[in-house]
Amino acid sequence: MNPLQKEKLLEMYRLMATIRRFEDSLYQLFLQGRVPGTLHQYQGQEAVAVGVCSALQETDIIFSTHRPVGHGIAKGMQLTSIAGELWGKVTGCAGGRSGQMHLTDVEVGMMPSNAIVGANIPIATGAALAFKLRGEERVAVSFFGDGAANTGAFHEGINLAAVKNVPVVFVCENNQFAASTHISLTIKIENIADRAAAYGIPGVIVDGMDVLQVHQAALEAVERARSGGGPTLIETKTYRYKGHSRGDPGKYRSPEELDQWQARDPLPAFREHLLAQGIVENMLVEVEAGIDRAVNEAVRHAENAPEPDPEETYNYVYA
Amino acid sequence: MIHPIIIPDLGATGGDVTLEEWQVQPGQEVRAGQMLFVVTTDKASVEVEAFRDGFIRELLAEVGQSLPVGAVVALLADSLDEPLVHPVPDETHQSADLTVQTQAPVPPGQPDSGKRILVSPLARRIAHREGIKLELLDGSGDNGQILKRDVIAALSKKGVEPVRPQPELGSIREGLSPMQRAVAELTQLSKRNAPHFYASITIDMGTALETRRKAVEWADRRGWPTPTITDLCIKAAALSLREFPMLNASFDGEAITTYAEINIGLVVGLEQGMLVPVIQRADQVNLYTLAGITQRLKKMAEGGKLSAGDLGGGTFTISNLGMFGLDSFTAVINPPQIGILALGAVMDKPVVMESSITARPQLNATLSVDHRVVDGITAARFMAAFKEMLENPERLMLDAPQDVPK
Amino acid sequence: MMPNETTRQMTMAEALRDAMRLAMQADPSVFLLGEDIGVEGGFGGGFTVTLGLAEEFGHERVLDTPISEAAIIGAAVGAAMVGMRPVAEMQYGDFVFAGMDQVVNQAAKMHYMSAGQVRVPVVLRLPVGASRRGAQHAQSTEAYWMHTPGLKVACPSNPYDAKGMLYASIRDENPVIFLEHKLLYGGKGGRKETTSLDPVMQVPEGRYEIPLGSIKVVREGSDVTLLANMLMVYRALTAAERLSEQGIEAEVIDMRCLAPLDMESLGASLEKTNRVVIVEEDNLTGGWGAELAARLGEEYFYYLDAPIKRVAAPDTPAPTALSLELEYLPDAEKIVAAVQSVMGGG
Repeated sequence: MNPLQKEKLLEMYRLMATIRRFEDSLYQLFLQGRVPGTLHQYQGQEAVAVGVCSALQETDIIFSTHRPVGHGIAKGMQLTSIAGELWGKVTGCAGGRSGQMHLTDVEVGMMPSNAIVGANIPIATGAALAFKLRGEERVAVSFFGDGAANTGAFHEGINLAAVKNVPVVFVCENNQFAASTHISLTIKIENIADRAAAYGIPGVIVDGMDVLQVHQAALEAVERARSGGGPTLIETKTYRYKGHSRGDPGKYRSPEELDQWQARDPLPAFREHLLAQGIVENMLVEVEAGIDRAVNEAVRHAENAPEPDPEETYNYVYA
Repeated sequence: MIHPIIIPDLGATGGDVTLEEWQVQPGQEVRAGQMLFVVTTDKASVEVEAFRDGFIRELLAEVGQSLPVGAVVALLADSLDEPLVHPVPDETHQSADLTVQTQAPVPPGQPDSGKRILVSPLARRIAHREGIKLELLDGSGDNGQILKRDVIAALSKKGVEPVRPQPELGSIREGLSPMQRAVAELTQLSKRNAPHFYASITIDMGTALETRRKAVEWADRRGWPTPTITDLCIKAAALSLREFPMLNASFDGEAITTYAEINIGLVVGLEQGMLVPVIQRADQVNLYTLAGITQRLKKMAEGGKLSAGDLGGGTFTISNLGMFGLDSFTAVINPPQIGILALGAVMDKPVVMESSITARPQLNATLSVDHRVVDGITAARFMAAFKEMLENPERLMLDAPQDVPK
Repeated sequence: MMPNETTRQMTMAEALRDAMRLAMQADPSVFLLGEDIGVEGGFGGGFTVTLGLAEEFGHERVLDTPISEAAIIGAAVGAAMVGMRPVAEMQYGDFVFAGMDQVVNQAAKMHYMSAGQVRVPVVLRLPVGASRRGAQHAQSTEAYWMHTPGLKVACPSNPYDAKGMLYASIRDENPVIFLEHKLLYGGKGGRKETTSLDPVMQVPEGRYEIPLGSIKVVREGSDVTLLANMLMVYRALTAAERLSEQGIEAEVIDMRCLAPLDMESLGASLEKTNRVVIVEEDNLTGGWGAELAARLGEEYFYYLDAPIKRVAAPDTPAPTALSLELEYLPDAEKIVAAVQSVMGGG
């Protein structure tokens, strides 16, 4: 394997491991009562965020949801910036005013995350429309879950994107549950990607636990968009290891099911793959140690940072 | 039968009176004419009498309470034991002798018992700023609300200029007594509305003083009231006004009303202000009668015992500050009259008589007239007539021919 | 207006079209999207406003969309967030509710939630007002926008204001809800509305802006202040004439911008007249008049010589039959009655 590829794989691993480590420590801290606000955790889905985002260029943009930590890290947000926002401190990416569900870092292409399920779909379409109008070779990516596939915004946004042939990639992270409701109760068909045909665009199904498969599918979709081929709907079959949000013990899922999906944990799988590709153990250990330090540092930083001035409430209502 | 006892109209300018004293109590039998209670107005203390015989059954007002004209203050019954039926108050009748209250007498200023005063925020603010009592205003709003225009109207009626003087540090700021306020408002109104024109004349009082001396001697011997210089002046002015009826008149801004009688108000200075009791038909009473009247009025004024009858009906006013040594001054017209005469002291002054200088007693009189309706010539001629009368005082005794029944 | 500025007679529809045309000429980031706005041989949107623009700027910049209000507005938001200046049209203002999430949760909040990292310079044009088409084609909607922090609300009453305010709205960095009254467009031929007012006036042909946040005194008076917007301005002016015959001089203020709100000018008028009657076509409860009454009552209480009254549509959906609509809509007679009541202390 060439060194560029090795570097790329290592980077992908680093991102996935960072997401996992960060989310796990948040979970621990939450149990200790040290995390304010709410948490919607991403453990188990890391392969999707990293697989897609590493297929993008720096100037491409992504739109995330109420579960944005994984996407944010994958797109290049700083841990301190994310942690600060979660803790509601001035060091947060939005100065603490937005919270966990609205992570934003426009500089790295992380557009404001949307807590309204499905709402970012037409918005991403609009951004892609802008790129097309301006003749820019940029791509917009809209992340959403299986629940969003039933919203009106999904239908309207994808249809409009298809009809106007804009450079957007729709990534549906089908983790089988919309909050506590299993997908079999909300959709009659087996695969959400089949809906793509209804809009006249390609629908692709991938194993969301395999980062390289996701990555490959993403590369194709992004290329299609960038070259004027229009949108793609990628459905990643994945699983959410934690509950929907904090305090959700996930009692609506069977332990067996969880076990099955954890057996397919993308992280150790990918780690194995890297070793098999000739990356030495020490490298991985070093990367992991670095992640530990970064995560601890980010948490410490957030806990010690000051809170925003109450006067800040009145800023940014109007531009 | 139950008869309500009410606050009668006492001519008080301020509207409300204060109940000073009860002179009867429940269960007491009273006769018509008997004094029931005393109230103070802005002018005087007044006793109110019973108009019929009967038994006092209930007192409805308390000492110190401020009450409007018509307020029921007590119940008089023909007998001691008949049931006191309090009829339901008829709110359409504003005149008090038909209203029997079932509750305590109407608190001051309420146009209708039990109804709130409706005032717009703006009107309330202006009223507060200008010191106008809202209870005294009539609201012109569709539901009786007091609006800005009502407050402004009240303001212009008083002729008040909205000015807030700045008190210096250490000085004391006190409100005015009712009498002071009445004087303040009246004088301000007078000066605001009537352009004052002044005509001044010096009168040789030598003969008048001699006439007076003789009259006093005559009166002493018979125990009659003794005339003063002021009395002579009053008589002289009254007789002069007969010749100049246009000065014995009032002007309401639109029309001149010439009075049928000549009733001369005399300014009486008091510690707490001043009052102007009126000598009715001053031109017709003889000098001794006049003297008696002025003596009585002065005494009553000083004792705070003037009645509405004593204070009303004036058609012209005289003010004498001579006793304080002023040789002359100008007085403020007493609206709605159009003339006032200011008398200075009688003083010995050097005059030229038949080419030599001699001392003669002189009095300076200054007439103030409302120049909207009285011109300078009329004023001058009046003063000339007045002077002639006093310099030939037998004219005060010798009247013009009167109609005598055939 | 500059001296020697060329002007020409314009209806409000023409004035709006002109504003968009000039904006699009000056800035390539301005584009239009909506239903039936650019179709060749079509009607230029619901009310002819965009007629001819697709011919001039092409169908990429004058974008016809499916019936997808959420997508229309959402796409406008997305495009704006990456630097465009979209002008989105709802064919009837009433349809905005199908895309309400995108207005209230997305457009209005993105700037705030991102602490200024993104801006949403979107203009959302809504044809509003009762026009005998039924309750779902008749609403005024001002109150929803005033109540949503982050939005600006424009509602011009005449062609001159319409052009200047639309141009300013397109240049504004904030999401603007731009209300246009159906009966004021002044459409032509077959598209002309019955009972419309069709104000036509001299409008400058060049570019000019009327920045948002100002109201306009269109008639001076000293006895009562009438606040009205859009079509109601004309009703108020008619009422003012009738009142003048009765010796009551009404000051009429065109509330052409409801957010930001020019409280200073309103206060100055109220200090002068001491009486306010608000004339609004929206429903009484929670209408834009309610907010103004509360705010004026709070800040200028001691200047009021009478309660603040509102002449508004009753709390019913808009009916269609003529007799019902006449009952429903505020008119000069109802305004005169309200003023008379207020002159008598309310």
